[in-house]
Formats: sequence, structure tokens, C-alpha cells
Amino acid sequence: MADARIFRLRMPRLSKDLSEYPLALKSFVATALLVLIGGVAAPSTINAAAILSTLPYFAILAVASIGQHLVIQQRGLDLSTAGIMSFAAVIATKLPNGSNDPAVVIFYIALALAVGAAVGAVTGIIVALLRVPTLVTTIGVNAILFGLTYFVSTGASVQSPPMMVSFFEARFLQVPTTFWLLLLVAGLTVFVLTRTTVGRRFIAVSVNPTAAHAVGVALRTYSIATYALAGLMYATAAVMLSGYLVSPTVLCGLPYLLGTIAAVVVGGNSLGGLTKGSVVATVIGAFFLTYLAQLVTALGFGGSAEDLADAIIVLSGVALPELMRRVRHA
Amino acid sequence: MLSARSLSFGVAALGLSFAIASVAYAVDITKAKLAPDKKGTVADFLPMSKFCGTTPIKVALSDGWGGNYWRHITRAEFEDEASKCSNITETRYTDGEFKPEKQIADIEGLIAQKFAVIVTFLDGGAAILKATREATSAGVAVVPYDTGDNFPGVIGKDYLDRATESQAQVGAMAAEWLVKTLHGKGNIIMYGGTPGNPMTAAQTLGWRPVFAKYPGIKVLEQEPVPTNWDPALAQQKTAALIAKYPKIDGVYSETTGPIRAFLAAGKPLPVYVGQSLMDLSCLAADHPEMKMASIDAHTWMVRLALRKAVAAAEGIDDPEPSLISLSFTEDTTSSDPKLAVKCDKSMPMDSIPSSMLSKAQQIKALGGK
Repeated sequence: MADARIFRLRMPRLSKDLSEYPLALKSFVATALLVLIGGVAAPSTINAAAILSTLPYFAILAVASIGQHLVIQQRGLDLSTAGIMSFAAVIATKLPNGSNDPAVVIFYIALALAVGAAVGAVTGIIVALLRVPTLVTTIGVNAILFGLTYFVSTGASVQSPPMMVSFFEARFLQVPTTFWLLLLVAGLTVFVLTRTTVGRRFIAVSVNPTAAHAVGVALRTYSIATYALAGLMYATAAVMLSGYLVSPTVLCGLPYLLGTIAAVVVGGNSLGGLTKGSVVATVIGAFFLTYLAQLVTALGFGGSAEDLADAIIVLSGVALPELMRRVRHA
Repeated sequence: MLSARSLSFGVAALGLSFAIASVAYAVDITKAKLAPDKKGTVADFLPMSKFCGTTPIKVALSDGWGGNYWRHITRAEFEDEASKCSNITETRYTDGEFKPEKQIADIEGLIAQKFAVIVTFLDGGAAILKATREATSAGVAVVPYDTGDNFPGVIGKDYLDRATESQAQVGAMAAEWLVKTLHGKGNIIMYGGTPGNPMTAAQTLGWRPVFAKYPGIKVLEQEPVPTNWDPALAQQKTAALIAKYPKIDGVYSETTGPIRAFLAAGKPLPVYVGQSLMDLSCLAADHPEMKMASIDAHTWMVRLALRKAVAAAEGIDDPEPSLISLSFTEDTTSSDPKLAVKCDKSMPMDSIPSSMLSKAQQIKALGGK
């Protein structure tokens, strides 16, 4: 008892238990620390041009991660991210066939988004109504989608319609359009989650499904809607990716499978759900990972050393807050 | 006492077994001379008609993985070459899906189904030699292609011959062009594929000694930048490298990802050597200030492998070289009209200008009509 008081006297500002700080803040501090260290170790990574060049990759990962975040909040895990992204990318690029007609391009983009949402809904129905475990369902859906992707594209990648490319490669007020799109998507998601009834119910279902059910929230509908929304997010990220990469390959969605899960975890969200979670924390987690990739390249690690560095830094980023919490309580 | 009946049965049985033995693999496949150590170029190639033979045979391509444009075009080249022989009764294609055990099973299946010829891309490396050895001892003519420098395996035992380019030669060729175009001075970035892969390793052995001769040339990264041959990853890594190095003068890359990163960053394009690809050709056509050279993507190597294997199965010698030196397909710094940029926007961006297929055949191979 006396020790705890002395501790408090010494560090008055940290009087709260670390776990009581908002997730977003903790995530921000971890990321700021990484950028600080990165800026010292590789100053070239923190100049304006460098940051601007990472923004599109960050935006694409962040939008996909928001989808993954929603699923994880519902105590699921979506392993079909890669499949949905690749399939959506193929729809948005191969089907328009290089057309320059805005109506055609927009139609296929809308189709890609609709397909993403529809696939998500099917996953949601299988998980919520047929009670097939989410891991099994999403792995199966992922395999089907990759098969479909190969079928439609026959393995060859196609160039995105020029309109899409000019939109996603453009900058508005010096900042890439992909980043503005991320702000829009993230802003909308946070607004819906925190300021609307639907959003509050979603959080209720994630934190305490039993209580939510008791007050009449339709659990299964929310579950299905979550997967559908996640599918929509992945498809959006895929459209952004296609526009920015110009020539997306069939496997373009692969890095986003674990990347999105990592972003959610690095953001400090619990994989088991049952907490409020924070979309902002996930978005910051996505930035952490994107910046880390740039940093590791800039530091000149080759191949395998790069993966090792990635793993060590992510593990530290996740373990550090937990370690500090234990130190505080010891 | 041998009755007339048992005697005649015996003679019939003997005669039948001789007939079967002679028909089964009438030809000793190891007898044909395939010139496995002979070096040469595409100019030394001979037409397929010289090696067709007369015995009806079935031919197969066992691929380690069929999932990208290069593999689709290679498959089409194989089928095109096989169609030139009227005695080839079936052409089969199997896809190992990047799983060595599947490719082994594919080859064993082909042996059981009495295919006389198997050409193969050994993505699984030496692990697949078990199956090719089995095939060779069963009398199947096996010729792997694009095995690269120093591929393990005993010629005559694990396979009959291999048709391949030398990646060390490719690396040296790329380096020499970069040095020439940069006039001996500049900063260069070399890109590779998956970390530690043998193709990139062989290329590195080719370009290191070349660059070492020119003190004005600086290779910016110790090891080739790994990209997993993923243009998106290459693009992302290049964005970081552009921030790290204020001056990048020359690049070798097998994907066009790095070019897009330079364009996105608004930086002047470096001098660029890559592999023949329509996307690259059209990027060069859209940016005439860019100095670019593309190296033959050798999707036709499977044709050479097929000729060798069919020749062996038919008991014909094939004096064509087995170790092929590649040449440039395009070179914007050259005045030779044969090396002009081959951009054709009506073609898919994944098509390969150095392919021996017609444009219509390539479009069909890539899924178009």
C-alpha cells in the first residue's frame, strides 16, 4: 500500500492504470515511438516525400483493416480478406476491358463493391445461421474466391481502366486521394459506431452478446451485416489498390490477409472481442505496419532479416504495453 | 513328351512377348545424341519437323505452377510446337500448384498413362528428380527447361537433357548494358525475386564481377532487393528506396513495379533493364525519354525441350544447343530496327513481345478471344 502511494507521488501523471487509457492513444504513442526511432535510425524515412509515398499503401491497408476490425469485434476472424480483395480487383479491372467510358468504369467498381458485400453476407449467413466456425467458413470462402479469380482472369493480370488510375494516383491538396478516401471511410465508420443507434447496438453485441440479446438486439442480423460490411471494406481497398498499382496481379490480395489482422492487433484490440475496441487504433496500427515496412527497407535489411525485424518490432509493439502493465502491478 | 498343343502355345507366348517388348518402348531413348553441353543462341534452332519421327506418341508438360501470364504463354508455345507433328496423338498439361508432392504425382501419373515425352519446369527443384528418374528408367524421354546454371541431376539417369538459359549470363548482360548506357558512372539498384532463390543468386554471380570493374558504378544495396516478383511489393519497396537514395541512375528488375514508383513519386525514370513484357514496352513508349532494354523472356525454351525429348523418343539425334545465351528484345539506345520498342496497346499488358507465338495465339493463351 505504502509502496503504491510512493509510486504515485513520483509519477503523478501516470496515476491511471495503463489499460484505462484509450486504445487509440496507446496505439498512437507506440507508433510515435516507432517513427521517432525510425527517424533517428533512417532520417530519410521521415521527410515529407517519404511520408507522402507511404500514404497510399497505408490507406489501402487501413481500409481493409477496418473490415477485419469489425469481424474481430464480433469474435470472428476473417481469412477470406485476400480472396475478396483479389476477386474484387479482377472485377474492377478485367471486366471494363480498358474502357474509357465513366459509366462503364463506375458500373464495374460498383459491381466489385457489391460482390464484396454479397460474399461477406454469404459468409455471415454460414457463420451465424449454419453455425459453421468462422475460421473454417472464411478459409473455404477464400479458396472459392481465388478459384473464381483465376477463372475470370485466367491468371493474367489486366491494366486498370485509365480513369481509375488517374483518380487513385492523383493528389488533392498535395495529399494522395487514397488517403482522403481512408479519412472518409474511417470517419463514417467511427461516426456510425459512436453516434448512431445501429452502431451502439453493434458495440453492445461485441462487448456482451448475452446482454444485447436480452434487450432485443437481433444478434444474427448484426453478425451477417458485419461480414457483409467487412466484405465491402475489402472490396473498397481492392479498388484503391487496383487504381494505384495500375496492373494488379491475381495474388494482389495475399499480403492483406495477415496484414489486416496484424493492424487490428497492433492497434491494441483484443482478438477475442468482448471489448469496445477502437477503429482509430486499428487505423493507427495500419500506419505502424506500413511505416515499419518502409523503415526496414530503408535500413537495408535483406530478405529474411527483414521478416525477422518485422516480427520482433511487431511483437515488441504488442508486448510492451502488457509488460508495462505487469511492471506497474508488481 | 511335348504335345503339339503345348509347343504351339509356347511359341505363341514367346512371339507375343517379343512383340510386346518391341512395341512398348521401341526406341532406346538414351541412344539419341542431344548435345547437352553445347552452347548456342536462338539462331541455331531447327524446325520441329526434323524431329517428329513417325511413331505415334503422347507428349506432356508437367508444370510446377501454372498461375501467371508467363506460364500460360509457355504452355501455349508448347502446344503450338507439338501441333507441328502429326504423329503426336495427345498433348497434356499438368499443374503442380507449387506443391512438389503434386508435381511428383503428376509425373508418375503420366508414366502410368504411357506418355513417351515429358517436358517439365521443376519449381520444386531437386525434390522432383525422384519422379524424373523414375520416368527416365521407364523409358520416358524427360527434358526439363529453364533449370538455370548448375542444376543437380545426372544426364541420362535423372533426365535426358535440359534446355536452359544461364541466369549468370543474364546478370552479366544486364550489368554490361547498364554500365554502357551510364557511361561507367552511376548508382544502381538490382532487384531480385523471392529471398535466396537460385535464379537471382545466379544473376548476382553474373553482375557482381562486371560492376566491380568500374569504380564509378555504385550498387546501392548489398544484396538484390527481394520483391517476390510481386510488382506491388516492388513498387512499395522502391518508394522507400527513392526516399533513402536521392540519386538512383540505373535499375535491373523483372517486374515493372519500380517504374511505377518513380512515376508516382514524380522522379525522372532511371536507366532500366528488365525482362520482355508488353507493360514494360508500353511504359517505354509512353515515356520516350526513358532508356530501356528488355531481355528475352524465353517462353520459347519449352519448344527446344520438346524437340529434344521428341527426338529422343523417336531415336533421332538433335544437334541443337542445349545451353542458350539470351539476347535483348528491345534497346532504346540502339539504332537497330529489330531492337525497337514493341508496344502494342491492342495486346494484353501481360503479353510477351519476345514470345514465338503469333499475337492471336498470345491473346488466346491469356484468356482473350
